Amino acid sequence: MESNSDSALMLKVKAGDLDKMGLLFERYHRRLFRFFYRLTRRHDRSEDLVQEVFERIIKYRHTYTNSGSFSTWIFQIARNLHADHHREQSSMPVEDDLPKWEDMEGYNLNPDPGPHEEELKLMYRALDNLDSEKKETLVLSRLEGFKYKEIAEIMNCSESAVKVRIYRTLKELKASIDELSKEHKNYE
Amino acid sequence: MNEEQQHTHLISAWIDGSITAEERQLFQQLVEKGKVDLTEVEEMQLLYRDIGDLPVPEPSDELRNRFYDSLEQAKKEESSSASGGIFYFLPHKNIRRWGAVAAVFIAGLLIGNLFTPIDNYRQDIQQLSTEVSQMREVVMMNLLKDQSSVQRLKAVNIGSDIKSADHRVIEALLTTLNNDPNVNVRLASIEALIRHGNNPVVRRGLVESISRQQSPQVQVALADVMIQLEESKSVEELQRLLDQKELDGAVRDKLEYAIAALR
Repeated sequence: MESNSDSALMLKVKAGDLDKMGLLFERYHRRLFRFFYRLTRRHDRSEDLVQEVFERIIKYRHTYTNSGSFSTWIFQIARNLHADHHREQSSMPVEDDLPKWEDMEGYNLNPDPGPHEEELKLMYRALDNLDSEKKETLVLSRLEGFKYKEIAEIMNCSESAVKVRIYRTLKELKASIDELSKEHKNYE
Repeated sequence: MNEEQQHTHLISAWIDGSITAEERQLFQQLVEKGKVDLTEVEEMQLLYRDIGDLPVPEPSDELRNRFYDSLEQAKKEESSSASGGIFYFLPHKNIRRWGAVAAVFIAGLLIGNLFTPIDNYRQDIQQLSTEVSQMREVVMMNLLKDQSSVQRLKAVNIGSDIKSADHRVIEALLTTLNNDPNVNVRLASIEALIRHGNNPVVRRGLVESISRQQSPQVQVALADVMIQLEESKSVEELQRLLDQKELDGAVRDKLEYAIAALR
């Protein structure tokens, strides 16, 4: 094992060399932020979740076994945290009434959006309509570049199930975009 | 696996590009037989690619600050629990607490009655050691102002012998690294600073110094230090240096190696 590999660093953290956690943070915090942002579309919440991932790793560092790859392990933690967070949010009925913060922050506020921006908006809305499991599968595959086998490890299911999920998710997403696009044209 | 499942698997593999040569052949046969709609699959693949282009903002610096604060906190907790480690064999928290109280009491008695002369002696040694460090610091600061590079080299070597260097020593060494006209003095200052590599000010100073250096020797030495300290924050500075057109070939190789190792 290379002395600078993620697993080697994590084993050093486990042995008490907490400074090595800084290196792992530098390597992973952007990827985790992207992951959470795609799922929540909230900048503040995504940062909170990234922070929680690293706090959890520090707290439970003695449980690290180095049995699989570090990246799948850290994304397993991230996924569990997001699931907890999602459960908490689902039990709060007022959430649906809250504004989409990103809509208030920037690029979606263009009063005369071009055709490309319209497509992006529709895609975002279609993604929001997906259930959490499908969205996670898609994000891990397309945005985080994990192989289907690794996604299966992260999501604790078979590789075959991941492939079926990707296929169904894309089909659903496409149908949803077509539907939203029709609604949008009728509205215009 | 039934036929539908097989089609699904092939399409998913085709979409993310993980399809094998054998599967590709099978996939093409299905398309030719009209069992898979290629247009639909291509639309799905296009959608899959488009999702990757959705913009994502960058995390703020606040996240980094929060993480390093919590890491410092964890380190403090680790060191405080390590100092109470001898009572870890006791099963209950309260028992451990009483064990610690008893130990402090007994230690107090022993120190008070038996080892008072040794304690005084240790205090004297500690005081003497602090005074020597302060003296070294004064000598070092004066020698660093000297015109002769030999004297400045001596100053840097004195600096490397100061074990608990305060911010003035660190600052003086970093100033030397960035401004001294002599390459050997600058190289010696790097050696002196590595000894304080756990200090975040030193690490930051070393990283910031990378792009200020013109000498290939110093550039290579700093790249080596970054690898030694496993300082991933230096990648950007190393890359900036690497992007310069007039760069020594050996330096270029070293920088590329360092960047690859730190990423």
